[in-house]
Amino acid sequence: MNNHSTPPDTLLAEVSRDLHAVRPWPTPWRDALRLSPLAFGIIVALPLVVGLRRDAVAVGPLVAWGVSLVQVALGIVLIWIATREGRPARRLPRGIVCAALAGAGFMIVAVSLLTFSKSPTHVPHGVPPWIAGMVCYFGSTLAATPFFVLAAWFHSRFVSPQPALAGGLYGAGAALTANAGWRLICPISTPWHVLTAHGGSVITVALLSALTAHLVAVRARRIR
Amino acid sequence: MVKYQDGSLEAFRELYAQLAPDLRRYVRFLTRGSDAADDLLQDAFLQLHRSRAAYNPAYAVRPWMFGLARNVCLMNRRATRRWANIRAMGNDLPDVPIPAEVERLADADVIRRCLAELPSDHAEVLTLHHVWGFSFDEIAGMLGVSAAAARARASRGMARLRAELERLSSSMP
Repeated sequence: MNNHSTPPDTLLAEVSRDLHAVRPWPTPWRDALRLSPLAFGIIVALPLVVGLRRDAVAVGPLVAWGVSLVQVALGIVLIWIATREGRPARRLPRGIVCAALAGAGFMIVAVSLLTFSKSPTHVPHGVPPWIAGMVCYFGSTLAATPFFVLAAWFHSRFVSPQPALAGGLYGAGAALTANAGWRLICPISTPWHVLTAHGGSVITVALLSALTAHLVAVRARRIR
Repeated sequence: MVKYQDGSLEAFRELYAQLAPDLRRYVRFLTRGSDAADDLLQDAFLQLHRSRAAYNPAYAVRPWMFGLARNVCLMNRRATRRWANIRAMGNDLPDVPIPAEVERLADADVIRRCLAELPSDHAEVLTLHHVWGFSFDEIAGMLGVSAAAARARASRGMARLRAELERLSSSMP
């Protein structure tokens, strides 16, 4: 008869093998806010390195910088939700998760239409639209890379019953944040370009992140 | 838990002694009394060990650990086909806990059978609240639902359980 109050020897051996002091993680909010310097770094660095979009004056500071800041804030909220989703007993109701994801989609469409209404700029003559699209798609995805690397590290610490959902949320938040910087340097505001190239990048990063989280979870299960 | 995070094996033993009996019953409840429950319980403690840094002292330990055990069971259910066997094996419901509110309405076996016939999400919230004493906020965090939804599930589950027990007792000669 097993005594259910005493850990089995195999478990004790496993625990003893790797028993060292650990520093408790911060709460999910603090965890998400720790990424804000990186997020703000991206939206400042991209215009500094590549140059602010040519129609920045026509767009106006509120729609250019203000909207990007709101987008970063929403990205951090998504990362916060992902961080909660990755911890037991801290999960948020499905309604809030779905609303946040829907909010991210709405944000991309709304920002695209708002910017186009302020300054309707098109793909320059002589440049095939698909080339402009590819540049923005890969550029925006590349801008999300620092977050993506951090995401892989985060995923390895997640303890979620739905790792793909947690990873997808994290990826969507990271891509939305990176995209907030990218839209400050992209001179094309045609909704078709913004929705396919910029929006496509957000969707790609979210899916890649979901896949990474899923694979990390599968690997962790195999190790167990 | 804080002492355990500081690297104390004795603290781990103490934590295990305090949590394992209830957790084992919960895992058996989730797996319908399967023999796999003991393995899953060890998995849950191993997972606790690997992710012990994720625990923040601001949280309560019991909901954290119950949530972790639930995650392990769900991931295991997805990862393997063991769940199908568990469903098949668990018809005798050997260790499903009984809420004190209905204990006097019928004998334990009858209550267990009625509980087993409740929708699983209702039965889970019902037992988490009435047997293990978690608040609806804590249950909401474990299950990823709102506290109001958790309350509604428990209430509907209890109403159905009572109705079923009353129907059974009135049909007895």
